[in-house]
Amino acid sequence: MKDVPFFPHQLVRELALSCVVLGLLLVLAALLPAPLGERAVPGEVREVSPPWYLSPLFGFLTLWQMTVGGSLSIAVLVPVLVLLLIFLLPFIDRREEGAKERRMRILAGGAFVLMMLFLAYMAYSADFESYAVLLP
Amino acid sequence: MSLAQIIDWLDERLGIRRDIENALRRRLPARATGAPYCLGGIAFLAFLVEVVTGIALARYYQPNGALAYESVRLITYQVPLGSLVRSLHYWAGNVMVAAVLLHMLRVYLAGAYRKPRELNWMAGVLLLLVTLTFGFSGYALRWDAASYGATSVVVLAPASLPLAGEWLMRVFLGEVVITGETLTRLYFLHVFLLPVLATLLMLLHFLMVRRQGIYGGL
Repeated sequence: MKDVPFFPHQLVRELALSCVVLGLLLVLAALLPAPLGERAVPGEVREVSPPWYLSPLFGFLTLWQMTVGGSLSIAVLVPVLVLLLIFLLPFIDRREEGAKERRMRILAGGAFVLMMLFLAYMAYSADFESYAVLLP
Repeated sequence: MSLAQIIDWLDERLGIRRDIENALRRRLPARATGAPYCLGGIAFLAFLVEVVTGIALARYYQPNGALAYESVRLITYQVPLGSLVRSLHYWAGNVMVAAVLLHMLRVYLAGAYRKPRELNWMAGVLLLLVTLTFGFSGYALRWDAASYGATSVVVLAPASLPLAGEWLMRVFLGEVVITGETLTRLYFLHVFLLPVLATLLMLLHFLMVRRQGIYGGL
């Protein structure tokens, strides 16, 4: 395949894309301002609403409470282990690239993304009570 | 003074002409200029927006349990353009997390984490952690009821880790209860420790991409 020089080809494209992204950010910020709720009262948890990128984690913790229950100490280790596996992925998957390997990778990745979406859904459908048990 | 003269002046002192020319003339494989390849760059751009808007917000924000919420109200309703800057910070943060996750998915699906790019994958995972901690600590700084509840769960869950959990919490946050002091410590994370870590890791991440080139196994 042909290659392109960084200047001016890629630089112009990147500047153009940057302008589009900055424009979109400005539009989002102007139309949908950052939320601000009631003042927090230290020591008193009245509502729990995780940011979207933490919702799989919250979903996992509530699911754990509903099924296994008991101490959170093992539940907390699971996401830590998953992150460690992702961190060490290059040393776990050391096979040569091939059509079969690619298919396996896409399947595993798809399954992982679906699981994250399911856990996020669990977090959004959880009521306050199921979060309350997460607190000491 | 023309640009050429400025470059001459600098080149006489620093000898950088050849480096600049090489950087500009560097050729990229055409397939690496398509849409999926822009995600890491978008994450970086969003980070730059966070730096600029974050500096502006830090001029008014009070990292203290008693004053934090009021100062966010002040930024939102009184400071000129405060609401816009705060909303930009909010949206660029969300875009940064989304871009990092999608970038990671792209690299994973391409299988680009394998030899010789193991170290850059690991630097990327650390950057993901830094990005998530940025997001979470920033969310806590808002100090409204919703963010307080979520912060309590996130901060207190690791405290139940066996053996070291409570000790870790005490070292990093001082207490195993969320107080105004926790907020001050999360603020330190958000505006000092994480920016330093993120900058160093990004530098490594980009240098490694440059050294190793873009993976072409697809």
